[in-house]
Amino acid sequence: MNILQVRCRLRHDPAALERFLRLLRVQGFTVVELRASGEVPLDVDARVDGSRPPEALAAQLGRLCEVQSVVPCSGTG
Amino acid sequence: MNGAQVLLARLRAHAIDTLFGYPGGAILPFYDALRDQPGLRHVLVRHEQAAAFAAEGYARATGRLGVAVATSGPGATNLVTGIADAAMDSIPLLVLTGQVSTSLLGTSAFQEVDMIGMTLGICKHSAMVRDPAELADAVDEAIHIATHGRPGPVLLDLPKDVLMHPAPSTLHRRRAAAPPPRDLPLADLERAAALLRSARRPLLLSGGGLAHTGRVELLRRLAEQEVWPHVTTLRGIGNAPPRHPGSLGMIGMYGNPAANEVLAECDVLLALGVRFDERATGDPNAFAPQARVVHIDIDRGELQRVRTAEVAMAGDLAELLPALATALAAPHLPPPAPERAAWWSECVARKRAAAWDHPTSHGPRWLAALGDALPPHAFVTCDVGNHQMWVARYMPFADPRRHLSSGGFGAMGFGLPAAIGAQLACPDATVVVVSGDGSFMMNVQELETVRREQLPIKMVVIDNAALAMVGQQQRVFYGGESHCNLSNPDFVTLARAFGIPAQCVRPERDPAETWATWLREPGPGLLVLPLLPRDEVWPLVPPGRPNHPMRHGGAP
Repeated sequence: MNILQVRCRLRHDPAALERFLRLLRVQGFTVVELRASGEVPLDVDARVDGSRPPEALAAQLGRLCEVQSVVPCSGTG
Repeated sequence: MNGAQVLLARLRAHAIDTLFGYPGGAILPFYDALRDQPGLRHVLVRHEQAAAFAAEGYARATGRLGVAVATSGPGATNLVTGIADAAMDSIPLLVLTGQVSTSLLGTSAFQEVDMIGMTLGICKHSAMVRDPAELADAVDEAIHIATHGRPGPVLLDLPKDVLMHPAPSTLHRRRAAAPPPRDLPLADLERAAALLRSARRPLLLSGGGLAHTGRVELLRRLAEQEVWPHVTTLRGIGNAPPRHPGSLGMIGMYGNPAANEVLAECDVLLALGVRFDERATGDPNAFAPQARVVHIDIDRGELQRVRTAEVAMAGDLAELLPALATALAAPHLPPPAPERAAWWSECVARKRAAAWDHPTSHGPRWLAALGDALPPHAFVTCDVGNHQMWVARYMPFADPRRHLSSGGFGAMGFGLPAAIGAQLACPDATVVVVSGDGSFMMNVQELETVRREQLPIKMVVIDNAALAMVGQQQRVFYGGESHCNLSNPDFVTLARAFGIPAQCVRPERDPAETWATWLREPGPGLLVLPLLPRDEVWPLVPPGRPNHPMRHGGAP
C-alpha cells in the first residue's frame, strides 16, 4: 500500500466533490478515508491508496476548475 | 426578458454569431426566443452528434468559441462524443442542453438524464443553472472557462422552467479579478536557452498548443535561426513549413519514418504545446531516449506527466515563445555548436530517404496530388482511418488551422460535420472533406444539411468497402480480419439523392487532372475513389512499442 494524504479546498459547486472523487478514481487511487467540512468553500481531506506520486496527483487535481488549493503530503505505508 | 432571452443576449454580448443545434421538448423555450434573434445564425443539423462536431469545426477553423445546442435526454446524450472530442483536442466549445423543469428533476421524467454526471470526465467544466437569476453569470463564466487557459468544452444544463421564467439580464457575480500577470520564469528560460544552444543534435517537436497562440511564424523563424529540424504531432501539422527541408513531418504510430528516426537520436528536444500522447510517443520509456527535454505547455498538469523534462514551464506560448527567443539572443550564449550542420544534413537526407515509394498504393498518390491542387488556404477535414493518416503524411499544410482532424479521440464521423462548421465560419474558403467509407456513413445524414445550407463543400470518399485500418491491425497484430468488411451503398446515387453532384473515378486515372477539374466545379460535390482494402498504411509502430524502428510491410 502506498497511502497518500491530500488536502483540497474546493469552491462552491454542487458537483465539486463528484469531480474530485472521479479524478481520484481515474488516476488509479482508492479512497481510504475522506472528510469534508465547511460549506463555501469546501475543505476536503482524503487518504488515498495508489501508485502515482503525490505531486502527480496534485497536478491533476489542480486542473479542476473548482480546486482553489491542493496540498499533497508524502506517501506512507 | 425570460431566461432564454437572457441566455441569447449573453451569447450576443460575447460576439457569438453561429449556433449548431437540434430542437426538442425541453429546449423549446430557447428556440422560441431564437426566432427574434436575426443576428444569430442557427444551423439545424440532422443529428446532435453533428451539431457538436460542426461547432468544433467552426472553432478549429477560427479559434473562436463553437456553440452546440440540444434538448434533454437523447438529444443531450447524442452530443457526448463531440464533447469528448473537444476535450481531447482542447477545442473551445459551449454546449447548451435542455433539461426537464426543476420540479421534475430526479423523477425519471420524460427525456430526463443526468448530463452533468454523464459528462463529468469529458468537460473542462459543467453546471446546471437552477435559478434564472444566475443564468447571465453562468453563461459568462462558461464562456470564460471554455476560452481561457487550455481551451475546452463547457456544458450548461438548462431546466425548461429556468429558460421560461423572468430573469435579470444584468451580471451579479463579479468574476474574481484576473490574477496579476505572472512574472516570466526568467531563470527557466535562461536554463532552456543554454541547454538548447549547447545541443549538437537539437530537435523541435510542436503540437496542437501552437495554433491558438499566433506564434507559428515566430516558431518557424526560430527553428531556421537556431538550426532546429522540426517534427510535429498530428495536431501540430501545419506548424512547420510543409516544403521546408527541415520539416520532417509527423511523429508516432503512423508517423514519417524520418521523424521517428531523428527523435531517437536527438540530444536535446524542445517540446512545445504537446502532451506526449501515447500515439505520438509509442513506448514512453523509449521515447527520445538520448534527449534532455525542454517542455512548455499551457497546462501545468501535462508537465512531467509522461516524459520527464529537464526544464518544464507552464504558460501561454504566446508569451513564452517570444521570451525564449529573447533568451536565445542573450550575448553571453555561445553560437550553435558546429556539429549542427552535419545533424541538419543528416535529417534532410533521412527525410529524402523516407519519402513514400509504394507503387501499389493509390491512396497516398491521390491525396498528395489533392494537396498540390488545393489553394494554399483551403481547409481539409478528415475522418478516422487510413485516409486520415495519408492526409497527415502526404498533404501539405501551411497553417495548423487548415488541418481539421479528430486527433486525441479519433472519432469516426467527424469529417463531414466539421467541414460544415468550417465552411460556415469561412464561407469564401475552399473546404474539402477526406473521408473513408466507414467514417462517412457515420454522419452521412449531414449531406442534407450541406444541401439545405447551400455549402460548397467538396467531399472525397475513399471507398474500400472495409474498415481498412482496423482490418490491417487485425491482420498484423491479431489472428486475422474479423468483422470489418462492409457492403456499401452506391455513394454516387446516395449523394445525388440528397441533391449533390457526385462521380466515381478509377484510381488509375490521372489524379492531378481529376482534382483540377473537380475543384473548379461550383457548389458541393462528392467524389468516390474506390481502392482495395489492402491499400494499407506502412510503415507503422506496433502499439506500445518504441517509435523506432518502425515496422515495414505492404500489400502482397
